Amino acid sequence: MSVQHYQASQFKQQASDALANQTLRSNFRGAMDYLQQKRKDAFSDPQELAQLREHAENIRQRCLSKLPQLLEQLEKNCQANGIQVHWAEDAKQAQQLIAELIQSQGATKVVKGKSMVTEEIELNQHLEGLGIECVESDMGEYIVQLAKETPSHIIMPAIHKNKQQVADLFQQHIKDFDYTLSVDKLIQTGREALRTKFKQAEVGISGVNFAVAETGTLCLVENEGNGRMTTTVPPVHIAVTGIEKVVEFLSDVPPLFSILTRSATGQHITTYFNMISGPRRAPERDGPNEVHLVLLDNGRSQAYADEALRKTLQCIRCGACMNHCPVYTRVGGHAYGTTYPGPIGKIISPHLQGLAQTSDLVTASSLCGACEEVCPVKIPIPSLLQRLRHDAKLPAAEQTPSLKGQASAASWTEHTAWRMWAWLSTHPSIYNWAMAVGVKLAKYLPMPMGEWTRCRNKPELASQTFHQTMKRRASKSLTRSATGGGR
Amino acid sequence: MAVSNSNAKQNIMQRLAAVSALAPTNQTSANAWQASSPEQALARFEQSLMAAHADVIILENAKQLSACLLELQQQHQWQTALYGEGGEWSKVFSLALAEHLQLNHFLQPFEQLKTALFDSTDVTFTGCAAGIADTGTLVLKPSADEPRSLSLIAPCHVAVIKASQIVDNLSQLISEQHWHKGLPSNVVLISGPSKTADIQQTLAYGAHGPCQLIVIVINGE
Repeated sequence: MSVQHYQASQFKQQASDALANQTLRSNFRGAMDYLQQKRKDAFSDPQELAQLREHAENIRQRCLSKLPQLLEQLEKNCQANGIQVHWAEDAKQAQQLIAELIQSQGATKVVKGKSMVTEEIELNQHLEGLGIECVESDMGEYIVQLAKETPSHIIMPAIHKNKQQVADLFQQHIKDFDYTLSVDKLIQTGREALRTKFKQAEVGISGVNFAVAETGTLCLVENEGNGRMTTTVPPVHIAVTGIEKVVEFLSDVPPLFSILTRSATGQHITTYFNMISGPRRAPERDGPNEVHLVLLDNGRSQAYADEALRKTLQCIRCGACMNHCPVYTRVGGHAYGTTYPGPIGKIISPHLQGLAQTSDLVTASSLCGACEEVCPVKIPIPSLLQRLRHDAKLPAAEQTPSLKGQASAASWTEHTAWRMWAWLSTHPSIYNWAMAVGVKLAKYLPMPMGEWTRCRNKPELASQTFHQTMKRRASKSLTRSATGGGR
Repeated sequence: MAVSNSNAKQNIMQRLAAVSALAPTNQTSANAWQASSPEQALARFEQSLMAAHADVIILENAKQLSACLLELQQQHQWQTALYGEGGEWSKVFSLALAEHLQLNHFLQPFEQLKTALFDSTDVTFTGCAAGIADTGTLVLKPSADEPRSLSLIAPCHVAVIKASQIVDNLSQLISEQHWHKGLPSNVVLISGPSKTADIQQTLAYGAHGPCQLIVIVINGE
């Protein structure tokens, strides 16, 4: 199986292709309108929303401020509960570690619940290369896996597909499928196909929504029951999470859980909230015999090192920012070429892949601020985008640690132009002369101004410079004062 | 188990620890929903569960449970059922239903029951550790008495809860039951039957777990 991979470095071309795809645009438009309305309905009391957002932000910031200690505490308490804890610095280490865990069981059949972090490390492809079948158990993930695609949304992975496309996929891949466009019947088809996989699976892999340091508990949020199946039926459960998902207290969970579900899909609560604090204990009769937790860095400690960029790690993966983003709504998730698309993806991906690969992404925003306005933990996404735009062009100031790929989008021409501008601005007489000449000549320039004039008219310059206008106004005002006029 | 781990932890912790002192954060709180009376809590519990597509039956007292179970069996024509032997209501399940359908105890390890649970069990019965009025949520603490797969695999799950077990919100439950002092291997919160909207945002029930959730509330208890 070769998955169709999009590249962050090809964003512009991928976005153009997406914009030209009418079906895709229609699917996204419908889905985003639906999700926006659902979120709006879920937060009918603005005062409650404001209070909850502030509280959620503070919880995340407090937990991040103690991250090293909380990770130690989480490890200790998980181990006390019988959960085996492993650490991985990057995607490759995580792949190898998880593969070793699976192979040590002699297992070849794995089911995996929805987990963006395993998408991030391209786990399926790695396991497949080792002859291990890893079936996605979330209905949306299963659909994109059949389509040999990656998820296009972090909450609703197959949001880019309509029911006709899903039915076509099932017909292609599921034996004895009785072709139908009934969503109920399509879901039942997926249910039956995946039940066979649950029964056969030797290992279940899941993500983690909140890892509670205080009790060594892994919390999973879901609606379908596939997450519970994945973590209950196979004899071994491997949970994978980024190091930032740790929370300090169990009492931190209810407010975060509440704001997560309402922000994501407008649900007051999800069907299942699964709290796992260890493997099956004697004399229990079910549940996995082994539970493993893999803690992954993969660029997160880079974001952590910078006070501003650290706010990126507050994210609780609700997807509200992408649901409200005018860019995401039009180009969809695949165009970004990253595991996490949309506004949050634009600020996380530079840490995962480096700015060299993602420098186009940080410019793919109108900075309208919708993402920040809906973010349940108040991540200042627009200002972080501006910061990353700066870093993509120039090395950071000396006191800040460097980001992978800093200055990768720097251009000699642009840099020189700005240096000239700076020099000109500090030499008033030459500046005024150059501006006056520039204003006179600008209207004769027939140049197209790059991307700007592809869909806009060339801006017309005023007949006078700003300085000339102000000078004229000042002199008029002086004259009026001298003659006692003005009224 | 020996799995390659190299110095990953040490390196990650070193990078995190290298960060200069972080600013303290503000202490805040958020008010969760609270009922003004037990009646209001029960009403919200019922409404929320029904909004999530669960069936809710409210009984006046525990004596009505047997008749209710039998009526449900006849209505749904269940042929096979499974329940946990040591659960709070297990004797009632047994007395009410043993003569009317094939009623099995969850006595063996899961591995021996797996095929029957997936392929030939119509309904499963459990009690509940608590209920949350705010969100219409059942709180289950699976154990050897009532294993976790009882509420997960069969197409229908029937849960019995006393009205006195219903609290206002999750924060209150965590605090009152001192969950921070330690939790069982699994706690699961259930707020309706399994569902998904993964295909064209169209809600469909019974994605992987039970298609139907029936909650019986004993009001007099």
